[in-house]
Amino acid sequence: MEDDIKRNDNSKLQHAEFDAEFLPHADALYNFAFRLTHNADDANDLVQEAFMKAYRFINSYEKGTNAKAWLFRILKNGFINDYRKKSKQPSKVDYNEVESYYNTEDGESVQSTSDMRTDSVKDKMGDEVAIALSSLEIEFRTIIILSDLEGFKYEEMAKILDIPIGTVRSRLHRARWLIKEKLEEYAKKMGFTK
Amino acid sequence: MENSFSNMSDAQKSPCSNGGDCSKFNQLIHSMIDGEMSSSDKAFFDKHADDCVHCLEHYGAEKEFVDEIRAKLARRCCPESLLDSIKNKIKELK
Repeated sequence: MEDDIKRNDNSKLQHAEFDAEFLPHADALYNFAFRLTHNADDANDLVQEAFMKAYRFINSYEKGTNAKAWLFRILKNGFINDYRKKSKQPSKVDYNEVESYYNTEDGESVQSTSDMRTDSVKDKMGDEVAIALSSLEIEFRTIIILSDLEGFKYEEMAKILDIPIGTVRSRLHRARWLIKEKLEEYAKKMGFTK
Repeated sequence: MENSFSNMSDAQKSPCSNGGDCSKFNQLIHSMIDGEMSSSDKAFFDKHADDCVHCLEHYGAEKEFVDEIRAKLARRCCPESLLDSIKNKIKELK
């Protein structure tokens, strides 16, 4: 009897802690899921699944550590398992080929790209940033979201994505270069720059 | 602001004189923007920024671009219905 009461109290405590520590990240998690899938229903499923998994495996989470990063990692793994391995959304381009193609560590490619120089271009790049982001390959899109929208540090991104910090660094650099290219293409097309 | 952008154009057309250092500086730009620099790299970065105006300007333009991206990216919020559904499912798991 006493054990039952204690178990019930523990369960209530666990439930309350889960709500307080994990649910505030729902918006960030949903946004991540939506940007990965480009589909509201798939994003709903991914987010729900991530929270359920987090709840089920709450014992493997160390309280007070980075709940947001833990949730993102769970969701990213769920996305890979459910969508990519089942080929529901097959990748059209071999990511390794893309990565090696852009793997110009000397930075020349970055310097050869002109910068966004005028305020008029910058003013017009509101929605275009979102469009350019969605046109990026998933690995590049992901790293921009994690870094520039969610503010994760390199070490956190390395854990979320299961890649070395050096890869985080170079992938982020390339992702920003790619998004700049997309925005410049847009600016030229619209006649904002020559 | 516009002046610095115009200067950037000239800076990027001009080859930097300190080839190796400029290349190293360029590789460190995003770590600097992200606040992920080691103290030794930071010392190199700051010194080179003092020595090479082209690199300093290039850094300024890159930082401005990343700041713009960060300012323009917006979140899609989690629908209330989804949040309610998650809360209910968690209650069921109790």
